[in-house]
Amino acid sequence: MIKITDLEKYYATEEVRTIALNKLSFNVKKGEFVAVMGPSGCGKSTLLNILGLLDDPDGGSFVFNGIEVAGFNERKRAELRKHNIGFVFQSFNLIDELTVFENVELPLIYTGVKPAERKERVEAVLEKMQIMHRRKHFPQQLSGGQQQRVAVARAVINNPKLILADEPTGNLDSTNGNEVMDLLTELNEAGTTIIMVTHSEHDAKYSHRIIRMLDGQKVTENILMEIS
Amino acid sequence: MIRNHIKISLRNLWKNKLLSTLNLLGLSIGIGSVLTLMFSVYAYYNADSNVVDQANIYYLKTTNISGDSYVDTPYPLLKEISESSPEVVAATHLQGWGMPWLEYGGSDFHERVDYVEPDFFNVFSLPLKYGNRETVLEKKNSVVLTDKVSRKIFGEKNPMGEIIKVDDTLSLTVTGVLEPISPYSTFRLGALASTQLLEDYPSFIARANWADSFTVNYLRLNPTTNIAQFESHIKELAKKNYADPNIIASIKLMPFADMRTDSIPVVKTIISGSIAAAVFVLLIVLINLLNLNASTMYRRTKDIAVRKILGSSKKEIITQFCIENGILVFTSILISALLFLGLLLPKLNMIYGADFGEITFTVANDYPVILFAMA
Repeated sequence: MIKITDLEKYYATEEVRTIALNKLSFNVKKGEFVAVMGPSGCGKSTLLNILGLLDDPDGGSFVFNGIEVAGFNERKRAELRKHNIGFVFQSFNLIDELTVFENVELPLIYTGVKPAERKERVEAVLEKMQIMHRRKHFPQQLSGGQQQRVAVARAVINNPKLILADEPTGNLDSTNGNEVMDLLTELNEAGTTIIMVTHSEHDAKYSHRIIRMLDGQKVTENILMEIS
Repeated sequence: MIRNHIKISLRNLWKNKLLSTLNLLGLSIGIGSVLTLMFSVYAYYNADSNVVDQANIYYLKTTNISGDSYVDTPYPLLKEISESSPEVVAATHLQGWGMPWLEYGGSDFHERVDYVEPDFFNVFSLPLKYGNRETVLEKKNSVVLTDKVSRKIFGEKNPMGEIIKVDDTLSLTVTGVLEPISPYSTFRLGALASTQLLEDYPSFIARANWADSFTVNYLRLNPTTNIAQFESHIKELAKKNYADPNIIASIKLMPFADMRTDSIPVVKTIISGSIAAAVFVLLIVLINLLNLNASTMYRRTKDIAVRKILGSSKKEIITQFCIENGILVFTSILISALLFLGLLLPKLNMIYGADFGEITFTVANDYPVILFAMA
């Protein structure tokens, strides 16, 4: 599903050029759950930005679903992103001015889904995430775990092929963290490909494969579970 | 999508109550002030809009050898010009002579009366509410009232044919009533009577010679008139007739549009000042709005990023911000309109009303000011 080859990304000022990704290569199969680990500054977030089509690489190739997307312009990237990729963040990133229902509904508005269908789909996913009873609440009225469940609901509402999770349990206690990881595992078992950046060895164990990075390069790759 | 934008905008504004209130207050006071200033400028520039074909109307401006300029000439000059110049389509004096008491039905009114030639309405196309413009001042004892004076003396009644006593001695018949005139107009009229009446006043006859410059003259000229040649002709007439022709340096034909600033020079300063103040206030309002918006930018940057990640286009994000500010600005315009009508316009009339008369705001006439405020 994803094939990156010799991926490069630099951040340059007038005096210094920092290499964030240094000829990074790996593949991710459809339905796979991959954890990316490494110390801060090793290029995990940069990688996630490129995989999420939020940023463009400076070199190398990025093939998504058989299409070379490196070099796509902003409009093409946005189009591909909103139909294929869901995001889950450490700090939830829910919009404070919108209720739970409205937050989850937002990606459907951007993809032009009709109101009646939106209502049906949002209610279904809120039921699935067991947060339906909180649909009229605003994010600040929810606990961290509940907020992350809403964020996951929002990430999956468009039935994305790929979910990118950036430290999804980083702001949660272990009980809520485990719940979120169980949710991601369920989604993965239902066929969604997941790439998760994490510092937590515990969370990484939920994945099929762990890629460890250092200085923008892949240093090791541990396969925990083979998928067909 | 628009509903969603409006909903988020309203919640955002409500969430940041202090900031929204500050924005709303700043904008309302600012726009209210700009509205007031621009309305007075607009009223000034449109005050003479009922005088058609202004390009061919002139008044005479004399400059003497010591460099002093004034809009007066000796009284007989106009007649001399009219009789000797085929270029003159129509000509009239506009001559004040004291401020007589007008009496009707046992009540006295102290009003300004100007004396004009019957040609007045051929020079100026001021619309009449009652009366026939061709014959309205044909008879010596006719009087034409402004709408304001007519209402003052006769109320809502049609005063045509009514007799007004002037200074207990003269009886004038009302033969016409003018449509309302803007107080910012060149004309500050009360009543118009015939110059033939003036010629019965010994005090006037004593001054109406070629030595005393005290009368204002208006001429409607043929559009093909060569102004320079015509001015030479007037100079010749002055040289030939003036008691002391050597005192005059020039007699110029000035466009009618210049009369207001020529007769009350401070008006020009007030108008320029109003425009400058409006621009300055508008600038402050904009800077204030930008500053207050910038102060929330950090928090909003997160919102923008999340929306982009969720699939929003740049256009949708811009629309969101435009709607939010649009709601704020539109509400401010409504508040500023109330402020303008309820406080600022009455205050403006209180300050300038005594000198220039009171101005009133009507949507039908003054809609360009509303459009300006919205723009």
